[in-house]
Amino acid sequence: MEDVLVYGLLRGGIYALAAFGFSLVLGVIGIVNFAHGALVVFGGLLTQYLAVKFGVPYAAAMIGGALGTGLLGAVIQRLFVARTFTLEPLMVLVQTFGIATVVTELGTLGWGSEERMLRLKTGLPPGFMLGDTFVPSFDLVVFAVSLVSAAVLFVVLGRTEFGRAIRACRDNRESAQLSGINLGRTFEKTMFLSGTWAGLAGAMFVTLSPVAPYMHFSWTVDSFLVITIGGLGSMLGALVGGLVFGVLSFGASFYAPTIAPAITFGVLLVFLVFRPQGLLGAGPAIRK
Amino acid sequence: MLDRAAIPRRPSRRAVLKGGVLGAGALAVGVALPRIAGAAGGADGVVHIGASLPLTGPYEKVSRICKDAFDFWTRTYDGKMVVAGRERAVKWTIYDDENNASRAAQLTEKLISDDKVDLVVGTYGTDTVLAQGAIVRKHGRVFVQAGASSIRVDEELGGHTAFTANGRVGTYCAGAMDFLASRTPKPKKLGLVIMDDPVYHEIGQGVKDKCKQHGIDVVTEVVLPMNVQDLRPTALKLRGAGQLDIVYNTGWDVICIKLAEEMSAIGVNPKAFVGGHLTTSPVVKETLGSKMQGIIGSTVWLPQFKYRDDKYASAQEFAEKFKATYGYLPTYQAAFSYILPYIYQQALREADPQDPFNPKTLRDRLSRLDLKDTIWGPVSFDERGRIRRDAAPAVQWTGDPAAAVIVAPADMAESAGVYPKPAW
Amino acid sequence: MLKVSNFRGGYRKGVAVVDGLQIDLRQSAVTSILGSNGAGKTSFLRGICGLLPWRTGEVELNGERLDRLAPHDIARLGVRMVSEGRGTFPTLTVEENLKVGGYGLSAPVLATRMEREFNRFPRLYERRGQIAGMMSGGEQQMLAIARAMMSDPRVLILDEPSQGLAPIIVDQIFDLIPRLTQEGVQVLLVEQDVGRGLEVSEQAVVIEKGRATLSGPSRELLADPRVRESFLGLS
Repeated sequence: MEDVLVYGLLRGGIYALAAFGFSLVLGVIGIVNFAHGALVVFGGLLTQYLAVKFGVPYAAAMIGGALGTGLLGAVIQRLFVARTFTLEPLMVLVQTFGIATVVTELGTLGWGSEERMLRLKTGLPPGFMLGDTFVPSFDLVVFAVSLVSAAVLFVVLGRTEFGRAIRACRDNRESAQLSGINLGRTFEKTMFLSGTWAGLAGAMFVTLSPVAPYMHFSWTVDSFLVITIGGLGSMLGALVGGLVFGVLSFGASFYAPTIAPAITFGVLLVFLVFRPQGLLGAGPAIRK
Repeated sequence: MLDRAAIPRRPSRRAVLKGGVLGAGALAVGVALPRIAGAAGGADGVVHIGASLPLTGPYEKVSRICKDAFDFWTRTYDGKMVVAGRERAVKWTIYDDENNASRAAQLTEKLISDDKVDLVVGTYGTDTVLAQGAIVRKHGRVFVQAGASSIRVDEELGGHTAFTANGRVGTYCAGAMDFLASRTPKPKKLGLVIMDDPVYHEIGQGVKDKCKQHGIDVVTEVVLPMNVQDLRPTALKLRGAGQLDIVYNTGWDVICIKLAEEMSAIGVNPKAFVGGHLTTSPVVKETLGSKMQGIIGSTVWLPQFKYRDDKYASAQEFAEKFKATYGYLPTYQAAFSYILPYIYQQALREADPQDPFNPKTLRDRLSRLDLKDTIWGPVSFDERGRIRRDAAPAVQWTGDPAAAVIVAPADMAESAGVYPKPAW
Repeated sequence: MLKVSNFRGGYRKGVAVVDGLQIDLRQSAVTSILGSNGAGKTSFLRGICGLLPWRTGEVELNGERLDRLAPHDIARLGVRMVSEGRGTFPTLTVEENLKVGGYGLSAPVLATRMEREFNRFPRLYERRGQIAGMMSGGEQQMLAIARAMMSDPRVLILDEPSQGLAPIIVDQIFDLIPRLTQEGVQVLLVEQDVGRGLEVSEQAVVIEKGRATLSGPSRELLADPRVRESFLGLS
């Protein structure tokens, strides 16, 4: 029981990291970005590539992978989403699904479809006991990085002019424009931020588990589940949602592995019906 | 068949589009070629072999290998096959069945009725092979296949329609389990990880049967959904089962990697870890690195197996030639695809010149076939049309960098093996 | 300063909601735009700010053409609109709303301007840490005006500032307008209370079906029988 909780929380950090950007884009640009999972995977593979192919130290590779993914997000925004996001939501959904496919196929062309993993030698002890639970040190490092980067995101969004502009665009696009904020640029920056944090999640995850282009969709679905639980609109919601989802999916996989997906989706349905705003959200996660 | 590609995922849009194009192209070729063949002299000078493969969709990569292997066989014999003592030109018609059972059935019907192929070889994938077999059976014909290893083939088609060149998946574990049972101290407790799909349950059943035979307790059995992502909960389950002697994974290569990673992360150290039948995929070794030490895998074919045939002095030579042609080392799928036309060739060599492809005599010839030396090892079929194989050999990774050496069965073993394996 | 000539615009190309409007603010500190519901007043203001999907004609500010620019560029050049319904950022605090109004300014400038707005609206200072969505309509109207004033605009466009507010708040807002002009800002006002709109302005334009039907000094319009009849209910 205790170990399920601990391991679930540790995983939850990465889920939260991946979900921040998804939540941000849904809140600010108003699109469900089906290419989000592709960004997570891209970040992981780019980090692995930088580290293995060019021998870049992990910390630098991670930052490079995250920023590279952010750039990809911004390019996607400028070239594709910017042209359609005001249209029928279904069109944008189809479009981002198409982008996910293209990114995945291009990733497969460039990196192949094999699973890749980045093995790190940290010099840390393998782990320590927390009560009766063995906590791998590297898991804890990843978890700490997740929290720290979440804090960075909170500061960026909450305390900087850039963050204010993003939140202003989320609250009222027209008023933001009337205040001199360039909507197109702000959306690109939002997508950059979203991509950067998605890339960071991928960069962390690739050190724990193999990553391959075809895995993108489960990241998108997981991010969706996280913000459904945590609530849209607050990054704190995404963090709490991530941790709750981590424990939930770990518990489901531990106690009832064969029906684990059914359990997590069941919880999603319960939330959508009884608490559409999520645990901490201001309004329903999905609004027109 | 079994492959990590079996993870359910959506077909990409590109794959769908390409499927359409390829399908249309294949149809066009399929319509055009028989006429040319007919004009060129008919059944006398040509052996027309028909097949379908899941060339688009999740099995895209594997079927490319199968297709290359068909091609490699054709090249090896200069595009000719001796049938009833006479050399004939070989002509292939290969369609894309998209891993879709009804499509496979439809295409097989077309191959037999419209294209009037002389021989049918099976596709890749359990459901598609079964669908194909139903059509072959309707026409009273026989076919050789290796793309479906499930016992369902024996039950539905064995003995009359299908001749299966790959061993039952239930025997995949035999080499590894026999090897482990002979170690001292003898392993007593086994943890079993089974993917929730009939084929994997069949492999798991094989492991349980072997445990019973050797007096090993299956202390925990974790059944995982096919789309499982996180293996940490499984590792935790295994740890909860106490000190295990053996952990056996029935799943594919990615499951093997994740399981090894998570066991190592939370300190689950069984004395032996059997990674499954895809442990030989290069990705396993690349990702696991030094953690490969001591991992055991079951494998139905490797270039180092001491097999040979009339064209290649060793499986190694076969593998090298293959690599020189296609740029990659042949996998077991390449070997069992190569063997399909090879089996027909051996069965038809001395067929009746009046009616060489008569299904009844072909069936008899296949049943009586007894080949000692082929690239795929000895080939003979039992009464269910199944190749006589009761154990897939086992390999173990040792040395640094880790290399796979055969540890079982005894007559093939290159090394005595290591037990218990070093901790992660 | 602000001069609009031959302006046409609408939400779909060719379908003019605003059809050939001229307006010249050069002679007037406060200009009112009058007209009944659906006459095209708000669309005209949105057109000036660059928010109409389709627009033609010329909008000039101090000789500089605005009609091809994006909304945020128009805003940066000094044309600020307080939209109908105020358009504050509900999840941002009062301070943050003001900072967005001064988007692009340096921190010290922001601080001085914010202090100025807090002096203008002491109520906002009391509620500076409050999120805007929790405030009353009157407070939000003050916030919206203060936010626009943060950038020291040359033209302030007020779209129906009295809408939905208590009379006492409306009085405050209308008292404020002349004082704003003393800071060098020209005001373009759309107001449903035509009498008030005319009282506070120097020039006025009456719009019907997207076209200007009357214009002139507000005092004259106030006396014009057509205005008295259609808008003031007097005869």
